[in-house]
Amino acid sequence: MSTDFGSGVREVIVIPRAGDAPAPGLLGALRGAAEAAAQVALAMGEVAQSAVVAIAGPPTNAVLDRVVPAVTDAILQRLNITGIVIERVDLRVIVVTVLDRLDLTDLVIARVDLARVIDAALDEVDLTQIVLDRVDLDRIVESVELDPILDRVPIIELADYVIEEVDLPQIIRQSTGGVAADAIDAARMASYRTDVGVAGFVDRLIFRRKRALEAPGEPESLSAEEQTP
Amino acid sequence: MTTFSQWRRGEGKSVSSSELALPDAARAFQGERAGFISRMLACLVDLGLIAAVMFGIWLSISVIQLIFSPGVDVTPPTAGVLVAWGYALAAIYWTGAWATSGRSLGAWLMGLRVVSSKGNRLSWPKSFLRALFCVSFPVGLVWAIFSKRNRSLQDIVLRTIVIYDWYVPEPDKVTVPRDVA
Repeated sequence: MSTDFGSGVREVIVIPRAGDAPAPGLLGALRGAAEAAAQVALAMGEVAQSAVVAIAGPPTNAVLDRVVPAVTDAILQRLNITGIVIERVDLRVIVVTVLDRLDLTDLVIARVDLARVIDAALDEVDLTQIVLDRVDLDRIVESVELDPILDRVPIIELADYVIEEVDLPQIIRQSTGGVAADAIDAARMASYRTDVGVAGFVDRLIFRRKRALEAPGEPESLSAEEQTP
Repeated sequence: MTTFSQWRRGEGKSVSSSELALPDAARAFQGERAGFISRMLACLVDLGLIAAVMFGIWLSISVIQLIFSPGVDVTPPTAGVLVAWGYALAAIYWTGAWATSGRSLGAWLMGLRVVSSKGNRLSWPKSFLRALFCVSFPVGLVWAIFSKRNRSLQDIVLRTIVIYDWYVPEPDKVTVPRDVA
């Protein structure tokens, strides 16, 4: 920046410094715009300073040190930099340019804890309900190839399980041999009652109280029942 | 109810309980000493079976005779021969039945079983002796009417017991680990 104190012509040349490379990102762009505006303000301050110097004589560092910040501050206070930027700067171009230069995907992958974001999102939504509401499950099921699934199902085991659970052998026995079994049971019961009747009759004849019919050991029909879960 | 997963892990039942279901009324007297009528009926069934078998044997022999020597005179066996054969068959049949399952066909039909004084199966010699005794002196059974413990003469002499025992477990109802299969 150069200022010609002697002449009436004032030039402001903005020379970008080596470190002033465009900062990446939208913020950088905005900051650049703000800096440009500030530099304009500074230049205006310096113009004012040179005017003061011209009127009041050669400057001294002390005077400049006091006057320049105050004047700059006063100017900045009077300017609506945000408004100027919004009004004067084509933000869309800046944003588009910045977006063109940036690889947002890489940036997100590098900077964002995606697992946390997804977790938080999943906590917020009822995924099951969404699927029920939005997904045509019938179409999906229709499109499923069943054969490979059935190949993996142990069908014979399943059949064995069903047969065992419904006790199919017993059903078959009941339907085929049920009548015969009932007849045998009835005959056995009748003969048992006759046994008891005959024994009771004889016992009364000979004035015996009761027979001792307990036998040692356990009948197999009862012991087999006990083993049955 | 056992789920399929439990069943696959072998936690399900593997024995059919309903097969062995006793009528409630019969459960109370299972294992008691059987009375005269049931035992006599069982003997009659056995005798009928033996008669049928003898008739079958005679018929078979006659047919074979007619086939191989036509015109031969096929006459029914005499009473003595019949009785002798009947005795022999009955002795053999009862020996085998009592020593193996403890019950002949008649005993099975009436829900009876012959056991030792300790409740076990009869040994072969004891079965044979009892069979001989029963065949040679069937009237000994009548003593069961009067005996306090429903014992026939054969039971008293050979220390055997006849009990009510309606059902037997099926031999195939055995728990097998599924991994083996």
